[in-house]
Amino acid sequence: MSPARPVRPLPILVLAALALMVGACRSVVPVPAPDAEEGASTAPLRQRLVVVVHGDAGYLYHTPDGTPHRADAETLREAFAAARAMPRAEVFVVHQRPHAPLLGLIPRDDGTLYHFRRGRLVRRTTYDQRRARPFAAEAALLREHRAPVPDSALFTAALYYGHAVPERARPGYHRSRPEVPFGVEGLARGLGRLRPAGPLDAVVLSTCDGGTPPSIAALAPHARSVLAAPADLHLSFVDADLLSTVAGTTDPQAWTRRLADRAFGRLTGRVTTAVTLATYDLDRAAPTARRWARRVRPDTSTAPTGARHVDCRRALDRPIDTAGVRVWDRPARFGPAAGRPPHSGWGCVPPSP
Amino acid sequence: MRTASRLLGLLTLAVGLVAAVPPAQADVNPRETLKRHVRDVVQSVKAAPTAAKKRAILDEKLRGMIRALDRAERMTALPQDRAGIDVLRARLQEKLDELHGQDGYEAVPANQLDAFADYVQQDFEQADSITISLTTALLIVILIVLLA
Repeated sequence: MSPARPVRPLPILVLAALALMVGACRSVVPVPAPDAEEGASTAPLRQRLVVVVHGDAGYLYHTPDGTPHRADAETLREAFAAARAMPRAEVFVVHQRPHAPLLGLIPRDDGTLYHFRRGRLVRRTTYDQRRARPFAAEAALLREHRAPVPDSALFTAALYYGHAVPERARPGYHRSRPEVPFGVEGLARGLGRLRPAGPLDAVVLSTCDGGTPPSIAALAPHARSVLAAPADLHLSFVDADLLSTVAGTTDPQAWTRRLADRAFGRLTGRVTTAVTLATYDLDRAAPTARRWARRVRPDTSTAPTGARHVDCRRALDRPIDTAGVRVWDRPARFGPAAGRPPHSGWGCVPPSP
Repeated sequence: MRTASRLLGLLTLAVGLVAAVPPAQADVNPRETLKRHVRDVVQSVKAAPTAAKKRAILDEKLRGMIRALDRAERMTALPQDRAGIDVLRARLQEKLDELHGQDGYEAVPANQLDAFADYVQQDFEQADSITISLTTALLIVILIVLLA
């Protein structure tokens, strides 16, 4: 019998560490390592954008050729492409991933932050979302890593990509953490945390049913201009790569309008369902939003993403003030609303049947 | 001792690989299976050689899904699931009515059936927020297969 060879723990430990590292660094979209500093642009920054991509729900959709897509992964790809094409912008792309402890026990980070500056990926880091305080973890990372240029010297915008955010906080929005409530007030406070010293120049809600009086009223303290959909929005969303096409614009109203115009063109070219986008100049539209937020029928749906909305004119059976609201609207090609009148830009919970 | 160490290494590697599975694949669930079912229906409609066959496929598959939803509703006790099923069934019934020109709709013209199939799929995917539990979604998937 040959003598037993001594056990070498080092290879096993290396193997174990490698396996755990691979497990900890998973990503749905391949991202290159941070770029080298050589040749970096030195042009002064003009924009600071935060793109928040919610990825903790069902985001599967198919293009007409049958190809499956994950809306969150598509948006990440588009946001990366835009960030790389903007030499005078600082872009933070946040992916809110499902909570997935290792073996169901060991906590792991459930968020990934990609930090681009002047077209280069300068940082990629994971973090714990701490969902009870929306965007608090993301805001802390922004404060820590952003360029030493104050928000007040830049055009600032935040974009949220996800399912419809319910008007009243309720559980179930985050599929992996269904017990954590989430609603429009929480979203608005979270966006406010991303720019605590004053309102963002623009907010984009790439979700269904974002253009409602309660949502716009909640966002009013935190933004100058909003782009949102007052009805259903197909999962293919407002294309994030379009951000680079408005990189030269720093006027809040012009920025949201140009982005809406281009996103509308893309969406109407690829979906047959209704496409309705609206921009809200909050100096003019916020009083209407606040007034109607107190009067419209509250959303009592128990669905995690709230009730589906219809045009407020139809829900209220009366005109609604559209000052400060600009609408891009194309009804669905088929279905009960195919011949409906143009949308007012305000979405409301429909009256009881 | 050596065998135990090897086993430990293999176990750790397996755990790491399991943990490394991308969410895109790990997240397969019955709700997504339903979306894939609709995708398959739409693709078979587009591949059909004549308008009559396209209309027949849509008719058969929409009716099959509505039947499965009827059965699932009778078998589930959760009020939230019943409400979700009602909404989903109403959306599918609308499509069936429009396909055949019933309930106030004009029938979808023969040359627009492919676009209508896209509409069925996109509208279904847009309805993602409909609240149906995973268990009931799985039941619907099974019933669709059984009743086909």
